[in-house]
Amino acid sequence: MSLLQISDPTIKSDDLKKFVVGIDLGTTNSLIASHDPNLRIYQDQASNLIPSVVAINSNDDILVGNHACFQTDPDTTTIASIKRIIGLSYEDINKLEHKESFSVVKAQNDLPCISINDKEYSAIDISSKILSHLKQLAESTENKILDGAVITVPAYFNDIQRQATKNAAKIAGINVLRLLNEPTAAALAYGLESNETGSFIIYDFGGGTFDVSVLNLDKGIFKVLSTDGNTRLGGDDIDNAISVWLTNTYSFMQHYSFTEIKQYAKSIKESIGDQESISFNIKENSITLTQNQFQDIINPILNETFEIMKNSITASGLSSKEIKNIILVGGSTRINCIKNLLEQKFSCSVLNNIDPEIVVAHGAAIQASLLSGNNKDNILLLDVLPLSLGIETYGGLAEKVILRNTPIPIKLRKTFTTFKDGQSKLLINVIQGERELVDDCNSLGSFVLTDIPPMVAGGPRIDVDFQIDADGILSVSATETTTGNTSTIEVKPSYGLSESDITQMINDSNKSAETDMNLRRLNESIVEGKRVVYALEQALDNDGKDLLSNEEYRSIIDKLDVLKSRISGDDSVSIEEGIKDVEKQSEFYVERRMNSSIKSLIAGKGIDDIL
Amino acid sequence: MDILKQNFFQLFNIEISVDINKSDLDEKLKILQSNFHPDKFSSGSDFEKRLALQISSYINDGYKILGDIVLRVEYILKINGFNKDESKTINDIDFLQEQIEYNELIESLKDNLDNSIIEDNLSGVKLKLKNTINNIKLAYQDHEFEDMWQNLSKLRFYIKNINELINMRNK
Repeated sequence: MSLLQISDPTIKSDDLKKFVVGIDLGTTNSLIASHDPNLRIYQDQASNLIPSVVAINSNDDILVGNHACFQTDPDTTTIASIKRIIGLSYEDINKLEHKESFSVVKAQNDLPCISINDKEYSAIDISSKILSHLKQLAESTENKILDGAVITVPAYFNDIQRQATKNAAKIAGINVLRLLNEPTAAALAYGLESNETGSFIIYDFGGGTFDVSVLNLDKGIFKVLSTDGNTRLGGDDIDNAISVWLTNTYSFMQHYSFTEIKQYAKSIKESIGDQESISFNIKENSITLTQNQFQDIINPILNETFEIMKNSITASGLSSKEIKNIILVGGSTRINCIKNLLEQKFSCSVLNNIDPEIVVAHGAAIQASLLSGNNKDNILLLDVLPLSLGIETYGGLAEKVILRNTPIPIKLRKTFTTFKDGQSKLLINVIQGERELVDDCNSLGSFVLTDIPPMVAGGPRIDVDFQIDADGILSVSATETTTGNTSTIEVKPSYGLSESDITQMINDSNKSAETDMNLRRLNESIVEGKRVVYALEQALDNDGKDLLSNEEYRSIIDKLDVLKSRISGDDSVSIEEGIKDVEKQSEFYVERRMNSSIKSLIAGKGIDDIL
Repeated sequence: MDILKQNFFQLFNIEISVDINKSDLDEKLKILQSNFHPDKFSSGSDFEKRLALQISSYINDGYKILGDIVLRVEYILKINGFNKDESKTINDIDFLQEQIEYNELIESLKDNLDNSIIEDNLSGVKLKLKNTINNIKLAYQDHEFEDMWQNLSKLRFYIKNINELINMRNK
């Protein structure tokens, strides 16, 4: 309970501290880090970067990270870059270029899966294996159980991709505190380290995705003004472009597999630096690539990133003069010419003095520490919706309901009616994207409104609320207003896992450690109970007498006493019930505190007086 | 919940007016979100989280509406209880004539992009926009809501024109 957050947040007791981490789940590499109050990166075989690679052998044994990369068993299937296909439909995956590494089949729920030894693995399964490996790494290093994590996603991820990432974490047994946009995470780490204020751009060019965000930083508030990107544009594409060049230029390359050629391409990219040219031998054949040729190969890709960046600046409403710095993030920004090209095109100073590969995980770790209450600094991230949200209207046209770059969370209400007498159902297709035709956007799912009372056409008024939370994830609810009936909504995801699938998978993965789970649950409930007691007592001390009658005060204290006595016992169920009772009993008090705080907040004060 | 019953001007403690001080609005947004954003309640009870999500969404909605001249004028009409039947047409012959002429101009510019013509028209439309905003302000002072509503259509039209012309210039 964070009642005290409104007043003075000062939990001193060390046992209330939580073990929380930030996870950068990348296309090529992943990182896991904590910030308490110093950055600690959990290493795998002495390396910060953990390859986002999963290997499954003929016994269905699973290896993740470096172990997966360096295994040599010929009967093992290795899966890399799974992030490229997470949240994508079967059709989308088939449209991808260079999809050689994924042999994808359609499984139930239309969910695309990779088939290995007659077992099917979805992108969510594979991602959850990576996440669970990261979790084990952090837990074994600290010898503590993880309480929660902030997981970063490309800013330009759509709702389905975000949901899929969150589900992968749930299946890995991770309590997701928040999904955080990668450039926003980088901005947080950069802003706090540098103490800079003003407006800046994060140019985040990773292994598989490109994101750009324009942000303003002022007095600890990071406000995203606009964001744009491409979730299918990254270092992978550069490797592919060089691979194509190698194949076209050197005929002997035909004798090599795509994976081998890509390895050569990758090493060219990583070693050319600012050298005039690079030469090396593959067996008896020699290969030479000049800096100019290299830039010609990658220019189409870089130009695409610059176009996206221009659009994002326009959308932010700022002129390029108002932008202080461009900050480079992501492994692909190690390519030397990017910095020079950005400086030429945007006449801004370009900063590459932060480690572009760890800054996202660093920011995520800070955010985790803030959200858990371990870190009490007055810092806030205000993010935006990356892609417009709309509904399908007559003729397959998309009608936008919430425009992109709208600050989140946000709720919007749309009113619908029937077009036939006695109509009892209404189908609404929710879509995400900028294009005008529904077919060019992503369908997030169809919502069927049922139980509409029989009336003449146009009679019923159905209010549908589209709520986007701070993670950028949508939920929908509907009410029929003429009768006051709440219509039920059936959410049918276009493809992906249903709520019950996820619960089943979480149960499956937890089955093995049931006694551990019980002990863990007891510990968690005791810590949570202590937090609730502490927070509420602080709040009551502060303003309980002012906002509550004696009777009301007493009623809360009574429930609190019950909870206190239960905390010293060992029954997690009764403690959890005690917490619920206290929270239920103090709901009106919470509401009164919020209402009273707003009055004192806004009355003629500047932000300097408040913070 | 009292907070959600306040209108957006009350929420941001800004006097109801057609003009708005953008930096004041930004500042108020930060104060409000610093206290009600869901991130400030992430270890709170489900009830607190739900309230914070509602309030924070309401604040963002208010910020969007107060920060946009068209939405703001529509909102002022709404909180003054003025509901206009949208199907009613505007019978301002001069304005209709203006719309026809403008559409002809855009058609001719599509065939022949002439930057000096675009610039001339852009400054012309900007002036009209300014006058329209002034008229709306005057109408609001006298609580002439019908008049405000008539001018609102012009406001939308001129803003659309300006965006269109700027897009053409940038091509």
